[in-house]
Amino acid sequence: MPNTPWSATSDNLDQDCHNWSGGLRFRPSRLEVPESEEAVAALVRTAARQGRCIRPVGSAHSSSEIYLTDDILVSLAKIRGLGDHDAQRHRATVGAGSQLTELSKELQAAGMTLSNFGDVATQTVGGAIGTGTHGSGRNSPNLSMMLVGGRLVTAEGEIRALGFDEEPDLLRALRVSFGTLGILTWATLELEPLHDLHRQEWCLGFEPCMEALDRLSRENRNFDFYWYPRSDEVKIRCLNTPGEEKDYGAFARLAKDETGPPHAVIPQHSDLPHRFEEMEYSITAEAGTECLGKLRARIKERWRRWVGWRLLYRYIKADDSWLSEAYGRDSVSISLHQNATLPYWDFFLDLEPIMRDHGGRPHWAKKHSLRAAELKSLYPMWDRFLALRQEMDPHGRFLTPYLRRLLGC
Amino acid sequence: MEAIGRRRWTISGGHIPLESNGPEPAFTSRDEIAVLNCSGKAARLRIHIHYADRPAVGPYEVEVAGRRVRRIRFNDLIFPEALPLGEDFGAVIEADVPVVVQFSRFDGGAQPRNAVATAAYAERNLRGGRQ
Ligand SMILES: Cc1cc2nc3c(=O)[nH]c(=O)nc-3n(C[C@H](O)[C@H](O)[C@H](O)COP(=O)(O)OP(=O)(O)OC[C@H]3O[C@@H](n4cnc5c(N)ncnc54)[C@H](O)[C@@H]3O)c2cc1C
Repeated sequence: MPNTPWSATSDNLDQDCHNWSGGLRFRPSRLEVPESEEAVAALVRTAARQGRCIRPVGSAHSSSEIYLTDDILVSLAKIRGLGDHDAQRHRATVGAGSQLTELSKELQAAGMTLSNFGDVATQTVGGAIGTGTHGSGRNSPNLSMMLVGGRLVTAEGEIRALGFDEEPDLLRALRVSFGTLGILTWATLELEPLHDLHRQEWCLGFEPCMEALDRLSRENRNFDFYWYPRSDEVKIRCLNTPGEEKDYGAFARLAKDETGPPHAVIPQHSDLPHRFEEMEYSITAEAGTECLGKLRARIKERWRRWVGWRLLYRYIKADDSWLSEAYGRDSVSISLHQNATLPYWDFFLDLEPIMRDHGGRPHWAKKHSLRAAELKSLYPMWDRFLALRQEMDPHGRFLTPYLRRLLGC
Repeated sequence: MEAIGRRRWTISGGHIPLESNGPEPAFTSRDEIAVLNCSGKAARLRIHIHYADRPAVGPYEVEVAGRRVRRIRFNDLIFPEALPLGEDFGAVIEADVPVVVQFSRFDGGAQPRNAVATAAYAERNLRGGRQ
């Protein structure tokens, strides 16, 4: 079965597809769930012959339209699990349709772990990598940086082996490309030996948090915080190798304390029963607090009446993936949330200019209003990405009207 | 200790003041319930919020440990949906063990309208029973 919020009994849908939040609804002409990599390739060859468009999908957690199509949707749900792996070098080749939660248990049994996660682990490998999904930590790049090789079904329906050592630029382009260069079937990931992390959550006021922020973000392996607009309080979340944690009892109240492997203690909201919509931008780490200050003032002044959801502030280490939010700059990301059942768009659009004024780059998987003209100036490697994309998919097999507007092609 | 109170409580005059002044969270204007659970086991609360002009929202699920009191600000409830500030609402609170619920409002706005500390309404919901 596809690993998506909707259910399909076979390769034909008897209902609309929708994303995790329920905010996006669409009806592809077909939903395909191929059994093997060769079947994916055959599907693309047929689509190519018929001049049709094909879009891969993971768990459909994204709330931007990056996988929406009225043509062929292909789920990699049956290409999953741990393939070849080497625990000594902590590398593993895994099915791109693997859900991170399930995969982590297999990796745990093999003595390895992903080095980081987002707030949930319900994404697939292909989806998390393809959108630059990230957790938080000054020394933690996004999850796409784990990708060092693998296998890709190209626009011609050929299976292409990938390796960072052989084709570094292809990997730099592919890591964050949301299925516009090809369909990743198997991903070779750079992992870590299995280890435990000690998670501590502390509650404190906004001002004391800001005063200590630089130190807090530097002395924890993973660090982020929520700001609660209706109480002006903050919850910081710190994860460290056991024994290396700090005691913030002098200025904060301990709210949670647990230890376990990364997949058990980093993602905490995988079972969240309630849906939300989200806008997220990344800005340089230096500009983070100024931007946050302006957002906070605006929310208190204008939005507190309607918005009870917290704002999330995270750190992402710079990388060199061409379309990564953190390309070339150590970043912080700021996420706005609103209940999916409440109006959210006016709130997001009111605050988006503040994040854009600080050079913000939107998360590819979340709500934003930008199109190619605005995005181009944010990504130094934009033109090179588009040139490579054109070369790899000259007939736009992996494009939809939304993606054409987004990329300007 | 024996449980004290009722399993169902209602509040009809909810209205979280929009404006706040002074350092937060101490001076945040709020509508709040204080829940006393004298029993030995955790009380699971299910709260439904009713509005003047649209369908009720809920349940909001909250737990109060055994032999503890817990203050719950309506301002902070976000699942399944944040309550709007400055709008009339009523609340129906159902607990799986008898509890005592007290409702209060702190209005720290520039022109505070009122300050309320009142018992919520408890229904005698175990027909003829002691609770
Ligand atoms: C509750 C929740 C929490 C979240 N938390 C975080 C977080 O902490 N940090 C963060 O950065 N993001 C977060 N996100 C965003 C989420 O990580 C992304 O939306 C991610 O892409 C979801 O993965 P997915 O498997 O659902 O991919 P989908 O949403 O299904 O697809 C995402 C993109 O990847 C492409 N794709 C999927 N599989 C393949 C493949 N095999 N080959 C090529 N392309 C492919 C799709 O075409 C699409 O363009 C969260 C989202 C939700 C709903």
